[in-house]
Amino acid sequence: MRRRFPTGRLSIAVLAGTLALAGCTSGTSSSSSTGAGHDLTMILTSQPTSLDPGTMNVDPNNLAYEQLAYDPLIRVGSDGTFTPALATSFGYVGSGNTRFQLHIRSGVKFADGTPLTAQTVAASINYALKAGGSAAAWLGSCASITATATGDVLVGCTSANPTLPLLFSQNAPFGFVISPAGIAQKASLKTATFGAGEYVLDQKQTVTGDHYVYTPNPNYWDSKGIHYQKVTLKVVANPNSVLSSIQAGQADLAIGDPSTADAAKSAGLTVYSAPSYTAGVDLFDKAGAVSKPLADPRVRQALNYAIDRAAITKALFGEYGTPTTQLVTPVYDGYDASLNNLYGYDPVKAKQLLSDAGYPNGFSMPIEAWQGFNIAQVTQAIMGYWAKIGVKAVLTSDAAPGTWVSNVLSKKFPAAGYGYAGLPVFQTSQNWFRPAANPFNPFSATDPRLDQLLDQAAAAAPEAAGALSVQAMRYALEQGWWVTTSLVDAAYYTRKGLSGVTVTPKNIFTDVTQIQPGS
Amino acid sequence: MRRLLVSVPLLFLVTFLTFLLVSLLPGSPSVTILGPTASQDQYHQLDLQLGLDQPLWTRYGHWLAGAVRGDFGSSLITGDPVARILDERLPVTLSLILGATVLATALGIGLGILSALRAGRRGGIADVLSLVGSAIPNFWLALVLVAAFSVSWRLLPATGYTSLAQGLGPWARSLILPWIALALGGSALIAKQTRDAFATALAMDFVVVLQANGFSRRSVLYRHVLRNAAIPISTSIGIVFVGLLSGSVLIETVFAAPGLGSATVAATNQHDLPVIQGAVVYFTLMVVLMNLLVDLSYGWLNPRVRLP
Repeated sequence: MRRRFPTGRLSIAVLAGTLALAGCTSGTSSSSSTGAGHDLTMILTSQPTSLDPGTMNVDPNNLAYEQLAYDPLIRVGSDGTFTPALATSFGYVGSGNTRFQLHIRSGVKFADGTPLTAQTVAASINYALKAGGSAAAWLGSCASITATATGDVLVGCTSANPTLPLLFSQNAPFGFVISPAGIAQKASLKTATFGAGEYVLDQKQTVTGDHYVYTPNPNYWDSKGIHYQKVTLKVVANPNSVLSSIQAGQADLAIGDPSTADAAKSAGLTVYSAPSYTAGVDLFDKAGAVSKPLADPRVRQALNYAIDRAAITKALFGEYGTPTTQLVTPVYDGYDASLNNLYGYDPVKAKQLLSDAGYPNGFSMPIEAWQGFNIAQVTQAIMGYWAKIGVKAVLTSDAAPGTWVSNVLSKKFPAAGYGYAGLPVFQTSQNWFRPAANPFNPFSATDPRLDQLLDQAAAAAPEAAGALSVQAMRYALEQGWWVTTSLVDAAYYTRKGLSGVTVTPKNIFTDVTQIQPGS
Repeated sequence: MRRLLVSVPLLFLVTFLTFLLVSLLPGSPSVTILGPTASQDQYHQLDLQLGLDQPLWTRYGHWLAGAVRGDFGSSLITGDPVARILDERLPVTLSLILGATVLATALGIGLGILSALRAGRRGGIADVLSLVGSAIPNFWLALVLVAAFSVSWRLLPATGYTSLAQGLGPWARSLILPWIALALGGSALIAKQTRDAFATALAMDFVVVLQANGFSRRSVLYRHVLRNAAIPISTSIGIVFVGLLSGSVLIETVFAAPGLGSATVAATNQHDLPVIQGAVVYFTLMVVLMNLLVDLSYGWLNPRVRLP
C-alpha cells in the first residue's frame, strides 16, 4: 500500500509546538503585584542620558531614575508647597531673593554609610554647578555655596533668583545630594548611584537601556519611607507598546501619552493627567536677519491672529489639551487667564496687520520642527492657517532632537515649532529672553523693556512678584515673541492598587518615592 | 579561511562608510546628554570634551586602532563600554533571529512541499498562505498578535525579553510573538523556493528509476528529492536570515526587546557613534558568518560542489 507523504505534518507540528510553549505557564504572570513588601514596576519611555544628577536634563523619565536613589533637600508636593526633606528648614534671608539658607538634617547617612553633612551638601551643589549640565543656567548667578559649622548651607547670588526652593527639590538636579565618594569618582556617577535616598541601583540586575533595578538602601534615615522590596524601571519607547505592557499586567504604572490616553481609560486603567507643556511656534528672528518681515511686531501679531487655537487643540489633543496664547502654564507666575483673549482668531485683522507692515501679499520663510511631543503636527496645523493669509512656511521636520537643535542653532531658520515645559518665569526667561544662544533663542534676541520687567519680578517679594511676572509676559506676548496654540497634558497610567500617584498642575512630575501599595 | 579573510576589507569598508555617513548627519550627542535647554556654548564645550571637534580621519583612526584590539570604545551618552553594551544585547537578537529562522524554515519547507506535491485545493491553499505571509507587514502583525495574545487573552507577554538563564519556558514565552511576527514573511520566500526546487527535482528521471527499483515514496522524497532541492532552499534560508536581521530592528522596538537592533536605533537618534560602529561590526560579522555557513552547507548537501 502506498504511504502518503506527511506533507503538512512538519508545519503543523512546528506551529503546535510553538503554541504549546505558550501554555507552559498559565496566563501572563504579572511582573509585580501590589502590596506591602512586593515589587513595583514602572514603564518609562527613555533610558537615562546619565545617572549623574549633575549632568542630567530634567524630564519625567530622568527624574524617576534619580528620585529613587537621591533624597532631595526639599520636597515639593502635589499642591506645589515645599516641605522639609534632607533640609529641615529653609528660606530666603533678607529681601531681594539673593540669599538662601538651608539647615541640614542631622544623623543622615549616604547609602555607603558615610555621614551626610552641610559640608557634603555644599560640595554636592558645587559639583552640580560646575558639572556642565544644562540646568546650571537655572541657578543663574547663585554661584556662592558654602557650609557653616552649625549645619547650614548658604547660597549667595549676585542677582535675584526667586526659584531656589524648586531647584533644591526632587524636581531639579541641585536637590539630589551626591556623596563625596560619588564626586570623587565622577565617571562612575553615570552608571551607578551615590545618594542618600530610599533605594540604590542594583547594577547586577540592571541591563543598560532596558531595565533598571533598585533595591532598598539599608542606611536610609526613614525606613517607613521604603515601600517596596524592589523597584524596576523598564524602558519602552513606543507609546502603543507602553499601553500594551501595562494592559498585559507587566507593569504597575507608566508614563503615558495623550495619543493613547483614551484607550488606556477604556481598558480600565486609571489615567492621571495635568497640563504640562505648551506647544506652538517660536519666532526667533526678531531682528529680521533671515526673515525681514519678522522684525516687525505687526507681522508677528498677524501670525498670532491668523490661527484658530481652539480648533487646532481639539483636533490634535482632544480633552488632553487646552487652547492658550501663553508660554507659561496656569500654575506659575506670569500666567493670566485674560491673556488668552489677546489674540482671538481673526484672519481679517491678520491680513490688515500684514498689509500695514508692507506685506499685503504675504511672504515665505523656512521653519523647523522636531517630530517629538506632537510639535511637528502643531507646526503644520499653524502653517495651514498662515497659508490662508499668504504666509507660506516651508517645513523641515526632524525625527531626532539632536538634528533639530543643530538646525535651529545654525540660524538658518527664523522660526521653529516648540514644546516647552511649564516652568516659573525666571527659568523660562533664561531660555527665551536672555542673550545666551540656545535652541529657544538662537538669535540671542533681547528687549531692554522686557529685561527690566523680568529683573523687577525676580527681585520682588512673593506677594508682588506675581503681578510683575504677568506684566513681563504680557509685554512679550504683545510683542509677538511666539505663537502658542495649546497647553498639553502629561499623563500617567496605573493599574488598581496603587496610592501616592499624583499629577497636578502644580506638580506634573509624580514623585516615584511616594508611590505605595493600596488604593 | 579565504572566505573569512575576505570579510576583513568588507568590515573596513562598512565601518568607514558608517562613520562617514553618521558624521555627516546634523546633530550631536551633546544634545542628548544636555537636553534641549542648554546654551550653544555648553553644547560646544561638551563637543570638545567628547573629542568631536577632531578631524574625521583622526577619529576614525582612533576607533579603528581600538577596534582591532576588540575595544570599541565607550558610549558617548552613558559612558558604558560599547563591547559590554552589545555583548549584553547579542543573545537577545540571536535568540530572536535564529528562532524566527528556524520557524520560517519549518513553515516554508512544509508549505513549499505541500504546494509542490498537491495540485489543486491543498496546493492552492499553501500558495495563498505564502502570499499572505509575504504581504503582511511584520510590525502590523506584531501589534495584532500583542492585542490578541497579550492584552485580550493574557497568554503571552506584550513586551520584554526573559533570558535563557531564567528558564526555557519563560525565555520561549517572551519570544513566541516576535518569532511569529518575523517568521511569517520569511517563510513565504522559503516556501516559494522550496516549491520550485522540489517540483524541479521531482520531475527528474532519477525519481522514476528509484521508485521502479522499489524505494519507498517517503525515502525517495526525503532522502533524494529534498536533498537535490536543498541547495536553492539553503540559499533562500541565508537570504531570509539576513532579511530578518533588518526586520529585527523594528520588531525589537515594538516588543521593547533589548537587542542589537533597538540599541542601534537609539544610538542613531542620539548620535552615539561608538555604539553605532560597534553594532555595524556585529551585524556584518553575523552576515558574513551566515553566508559562510550557507556556502559550507552546499558542500555537505552536494559533495560535487564541496569547497576546496
